[in-house]
Amino acid sequence: MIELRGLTKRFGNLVAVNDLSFRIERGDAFGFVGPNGAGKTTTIKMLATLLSPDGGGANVNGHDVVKDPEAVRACVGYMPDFFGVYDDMKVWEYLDFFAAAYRVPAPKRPDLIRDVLELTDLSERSEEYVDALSRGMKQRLCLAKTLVHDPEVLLLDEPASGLDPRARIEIRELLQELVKMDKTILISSHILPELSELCNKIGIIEGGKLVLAGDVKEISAQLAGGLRLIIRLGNRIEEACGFLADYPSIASAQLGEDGAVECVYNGAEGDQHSILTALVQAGFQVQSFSEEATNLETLYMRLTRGVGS
Amino acid sequence: MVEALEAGFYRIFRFNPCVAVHELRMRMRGWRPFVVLLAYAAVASSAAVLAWMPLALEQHRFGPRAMEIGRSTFVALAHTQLTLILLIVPAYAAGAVTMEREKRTLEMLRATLVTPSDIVTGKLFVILAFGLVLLITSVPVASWCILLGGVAPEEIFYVYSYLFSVAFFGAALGMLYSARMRRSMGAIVAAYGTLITISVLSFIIPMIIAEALLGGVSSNPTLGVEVAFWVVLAFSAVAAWMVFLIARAVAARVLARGRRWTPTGLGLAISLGLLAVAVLASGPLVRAVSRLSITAFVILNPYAALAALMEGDIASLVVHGAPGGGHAPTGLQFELWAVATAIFLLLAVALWGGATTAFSRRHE
Ligand SMILES: Nc1ncnc2c1ncn2[C@@H]1O[C@H](COP(=O)(O)OP(=O)(O)OP(=O)(O)O)[C@@H](O)[C@H]1O
Ligand SMILES: [Mg+2]
Repeated sequence: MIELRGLTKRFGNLVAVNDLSFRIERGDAFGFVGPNGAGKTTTIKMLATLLSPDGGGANVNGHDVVKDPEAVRACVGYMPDFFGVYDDMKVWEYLDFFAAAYRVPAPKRPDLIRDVLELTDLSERSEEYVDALSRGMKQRLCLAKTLVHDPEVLLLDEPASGLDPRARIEIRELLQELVKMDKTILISSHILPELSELCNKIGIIEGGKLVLAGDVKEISAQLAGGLRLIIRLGNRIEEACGFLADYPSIASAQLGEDGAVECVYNGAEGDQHSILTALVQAGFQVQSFSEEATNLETLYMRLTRGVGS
Repeated sequence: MVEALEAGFYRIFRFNPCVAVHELRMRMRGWRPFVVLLAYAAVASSAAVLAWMPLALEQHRFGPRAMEIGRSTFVALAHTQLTLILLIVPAYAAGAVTMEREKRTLEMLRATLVTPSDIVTGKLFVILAFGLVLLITSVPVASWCILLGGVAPEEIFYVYSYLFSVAFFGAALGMLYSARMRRSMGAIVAAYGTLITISVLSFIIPMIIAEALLGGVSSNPTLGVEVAFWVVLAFSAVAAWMVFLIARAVAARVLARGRRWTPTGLGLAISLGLLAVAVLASGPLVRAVSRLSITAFVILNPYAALAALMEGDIASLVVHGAPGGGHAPTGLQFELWAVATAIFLLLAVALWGGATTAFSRRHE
């Protein structure tokens, strides 16, 4: 269980995380999506007790990240976005070191290490040196390291960044395995489709603020009814944009880069023709009128457009 | 059994040795430590041989000076070792934490249950253990000096324990910069810079004071009772404060949790008790300090301290302001050893605490 209450972090004048509040229940896989510099890493570091918040607070498994960081660390597995590995160290030694760092008693470590190596498909590599592993294997090893004290909560910051498609799929399968193990997982990424298959909840962050959060199914269902209409006009484009924005069954209308008006239609299915009729009646020269199915990706693009830059 | 030992160790000292074990594994693996060890032994023993050779050749002409041969050889060996220790140990320590920052391994470590003190202390102890191994490699050469004559066995103990206290000081100094700074290069430069500054200032300041205020080094006046009183008082206050901090920390770990006043009370009691003993003993202490000459502060210079420790006329010049002939009286040598070793050990402990605090305040 993770709970954020108005979590805020400033770096000088920059508000990196701005009054963030949401809840992740036990067993949830929460996809934390946002463009570069949105504040994902900063949020995750605060949850991992590596940064102290400037305002608000957060609980992990009921422990306050500021008041009881030790209890939080004991139940959290944290994988940073960028990390290095030690030279001159074997895979099993690496895992043994982290198990000891989490105060796992020495007699229990060999079994635990064997389990996580098996889970991450690294069993054959346990005697190899960590700096000789490939990027994908290092990423899996790091994931193995976050599991070595059997934490209930996982904070994974872009676990698949910099990997080739095959390694990405391997990581995703591994994460699906973890979801099945009833852990509470927060995964950040700036690629939405990667998460929408894995997670049951999604939060979109932009400029330190939460733009949208909720159940993947609910968001998708909302969007299933919402169609994107692309309308090209021969004249009075700006005026048409305003006209469409005020139209009852249209949620929003914007002027696209290519001169077409893009709007989100949330009226009844099969009733789009009324918009065309209204436009023609108002004297607009409609050159084309088409629709485009929306998915999470386009929603993400729309929600996060230009806010950060 | 092992589990119980481990748990007990953790309960009493609140120290998780995993970082130390890991550091030991990494530092002692491969050929690098052996190359350093071999180089150290080679440089130290060749310095000794180079000092011995001309004397041994001369011996045919100056028979009675045979006594001096072992002594000069040992002096050369000790000074070379001091230089090597001051070069190697601070550099090792300065890279200990910054290297993990540069390789981006530190953040993951800090997210675990390992505490700042586990990291700083674990790394410091492993470097210190390596320093000890370096020192031990030259013990056979030192024993050879005893055989050559002119060196007492207890002098070997004095010199080696003094060198160890300097190693501890150098390691703690390097660790302080390593905990604070981002780059290894910067930390190493800062550690060397501080060592050079301390050495130069501890040499120049007493000279300037003696020259400008007290009418010249040649007269080299003693401190006098009044100055000695304040010096002893200041040292006692600092020592009492440190004893209080240490006693409170130890008491907090040993005593059960919850009753927060007990560690503070116990620390205060121990500290005040020691302070009372110090007050009772202050008469002889003040008298002893009052007889010190102003140049005695040069003992803060690691080389000056070593020279005074081993060479009697330097010792009496430095301490009492009058050159005495021959070797130091045994009493004086013991005093010098105790003071010099205690100063470097105390500085080391203070820097060690400072490094831990600096590390816990820093975010990665
Ligand atoms: N230590 C720091 N000092 C100053 N500014 C910082 C620091 N860390 C992060 N920032 C700023 O805070 C903002 C949020 O950064 P953050 O790393 O959390 O973004 P992110 O969502 O993880 O981005 P990315 O997808 O690139 O990883 C950025 O504008 C960044 O420049
Ligand atoms: Mg990031």
